[in-house]
Amino acid sequence: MKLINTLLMLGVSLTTLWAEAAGNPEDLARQWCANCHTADGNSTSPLFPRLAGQQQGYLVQQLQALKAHNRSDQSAHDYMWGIAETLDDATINGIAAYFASQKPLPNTAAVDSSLLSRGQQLFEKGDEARGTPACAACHGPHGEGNEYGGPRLAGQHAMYLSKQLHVFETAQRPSAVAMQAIIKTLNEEDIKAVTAYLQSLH
Amino acid sequence: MNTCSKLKTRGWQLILSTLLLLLWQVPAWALPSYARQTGEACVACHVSFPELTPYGRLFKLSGYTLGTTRLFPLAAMAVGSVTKVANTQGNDTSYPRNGDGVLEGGSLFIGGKLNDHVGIFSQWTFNNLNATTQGDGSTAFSGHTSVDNHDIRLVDHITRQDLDLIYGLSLNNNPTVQDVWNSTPAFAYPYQTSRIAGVWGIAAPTTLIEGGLAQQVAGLSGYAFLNKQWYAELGAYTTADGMLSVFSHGVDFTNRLHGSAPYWRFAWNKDWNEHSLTIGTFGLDARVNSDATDPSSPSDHFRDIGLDLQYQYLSDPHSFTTQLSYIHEKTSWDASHVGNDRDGPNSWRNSLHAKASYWYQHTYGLTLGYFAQHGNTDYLANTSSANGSPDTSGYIVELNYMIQPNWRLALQYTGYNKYLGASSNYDGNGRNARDNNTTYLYTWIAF
Ligand code: HEC
Ligand code: HEC
Repeated sequence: MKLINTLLMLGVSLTTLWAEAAGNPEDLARQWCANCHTADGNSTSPLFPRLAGQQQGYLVQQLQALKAHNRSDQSAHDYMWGIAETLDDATINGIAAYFASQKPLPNTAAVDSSLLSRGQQLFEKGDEARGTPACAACHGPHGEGNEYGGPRLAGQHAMYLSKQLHVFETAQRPSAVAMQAIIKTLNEEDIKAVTAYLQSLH
Repeated sequence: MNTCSKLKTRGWQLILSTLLLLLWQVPAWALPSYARQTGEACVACHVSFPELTPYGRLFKLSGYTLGTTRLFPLAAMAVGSVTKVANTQGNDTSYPRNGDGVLEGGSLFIGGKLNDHVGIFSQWTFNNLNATTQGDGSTAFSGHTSVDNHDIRLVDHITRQDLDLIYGLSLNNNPTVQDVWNSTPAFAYPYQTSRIAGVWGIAAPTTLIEGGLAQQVAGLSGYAFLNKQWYAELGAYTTADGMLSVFSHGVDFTNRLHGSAPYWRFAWNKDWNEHSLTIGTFGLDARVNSDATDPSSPSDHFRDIGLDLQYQYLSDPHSFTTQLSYIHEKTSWDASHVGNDRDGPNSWRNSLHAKASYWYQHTYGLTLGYFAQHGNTDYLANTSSANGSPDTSGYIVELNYMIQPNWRLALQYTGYNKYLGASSNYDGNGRNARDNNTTYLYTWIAF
């Protein structure tokens, strides 16, 4: 019985915390987003994209797109629509700033090293013969992204990157006009190579 | 009533009224429609219902409070099935509805966030196959609604640079129903079992913590999950009568707790890359009245200790999960049993469950399970066994197809290697363990 009373006391003391309920963007990021993307945005499960060090503008743009159901691939629908709908503009901006300021850590998951040189070539130089531009032109020389809309790709899970490249074959990410043209120039081998390279890039 | 038990009742009244107060504090809580619930798809929380993903576990530990009330409002499920037993030995009346299509029943769930710190999971079940034996030995079926699993939580989540602490209270009515790993009894495999096989009395013997107190008790436990790695929970259960009778509504008592029964659960968890691993222990120390209808009857003492392990590999399109649990139970029987329905004053029982599942694209699933129950020989307790042994073991093979993420079609085969102590002629009347093998075809839908 003593145990129950102690627990009850604990419960009552908890209720006094209600005044400071989670609401600020950082708390929300750590208490909710963190459950999939991890608190520092360096998720290790390839099911969940890394957000650490991602371009702030890109995070805002994507969260708005998810909220408006403009980004409509299966995983976006299954995991992110309901979540993004609950976020107001100020929270979206705050969470984006939080994840953008997190330090991206190297992705240590194994990759097939025989793919890396082809991947690097595509990323840095593209493939002129087939009309593939250098990814680095828009995604930054080290895959860090840039403020004009090219997201960070360095250290991102290869599985997630290749899933998105296939999404660009559809109209499910309508804002990705450039990528929808570029994906037409890439074959399956290229996709494997460039995503393996990007995952290992730091 | 003596002072001690009066105090106890008062304690429980206090707890209940506090919780009710918390519920009422919520301004204008309306149950949202199911359509508005689907903010996140089933796959976010479930490998396959009810098995939880790491996110599903955190969602539950956060007291179902993540997001807005839309995330987890009102839901229902229903099950239809056909069950066939391997051999009726010509005694068809003992196996009613054998091979017939039946509507087993369904559940209504009221669940979700009440406010940032309070969430609820409330299940009410309609059993369409409530069986009563008639004078002529035949079985009559009727419908019956009763309370099912309940878990009401009060939580807080503290996060800082190097600290992530979820802690709170769970008020629930089934030991382990509050647990988030599918390696503890309440949400362990098999996730769906044939009600009809239950009516036939085909079931492996179980320990008390494996459902023996479900919907007959109310318990309060305090828990903490530190850095998504260390989990600790301590609590106590008491009989769900009087003020707490809502937690046992419509359920006949088969076990009545004498006083309060301490419960504990500790686990170590690690999630990395596609992997999630948990190793833990749980248990219950319960005094149970020898007569479930008489609170003043002398009590028997059960001590259940469980060890469990869960490993999940979650990726796309492949997922693989496995759970293992081992429960050891020691019971001291009150003197009134000895020589009456028990050979001796002490008994023991071990219960082992293991299962492994493979899922492709969350759609096609194959599960293999193994179970083994052992206990001491006792002719008076195990009257259906010719050699007085409760030992039962076997396997389950299950094929699943998700027609929709919320609509499952499954074929489950349960095979017995040993039943009540023997593989052949276990009852002394020529019945073999394999005669109890059951084929169970079911469809489960949630909406
Ligand atoms: C249940 C798991 C889960 C939770 C919780 C979650 N996410 Fe996501 N998130 C995902 C998945 C899965 C994707 C990938 C969607 C896809 O493949 O299109 C994603 C994608 C994203 C993206 C797009 C990333 C990119 O590179 O384009 C952003 C931004 C994002 N989430 C932000 C958030 C924020 C902010 C929160 C908390 C408010 C959050 N997520 C909570 C699972 C989750
Ligand atoms: C002309 C500029 C441009 C070039 C060149 C370019 N990208 Fe992109 N990429 C973008 C933009 C802009 C987006 C954001 C799309 C959106 O709004 O959804 C993007 C998004 C992506 C994404 C999705 C990232 C995420 O987190 O969801 C991947 C993967 C990607 N690009 C890969 C590549 C690869 C590989 C190449 C080279 C073969 C490449 N890109 C070349 C502009 C470019």
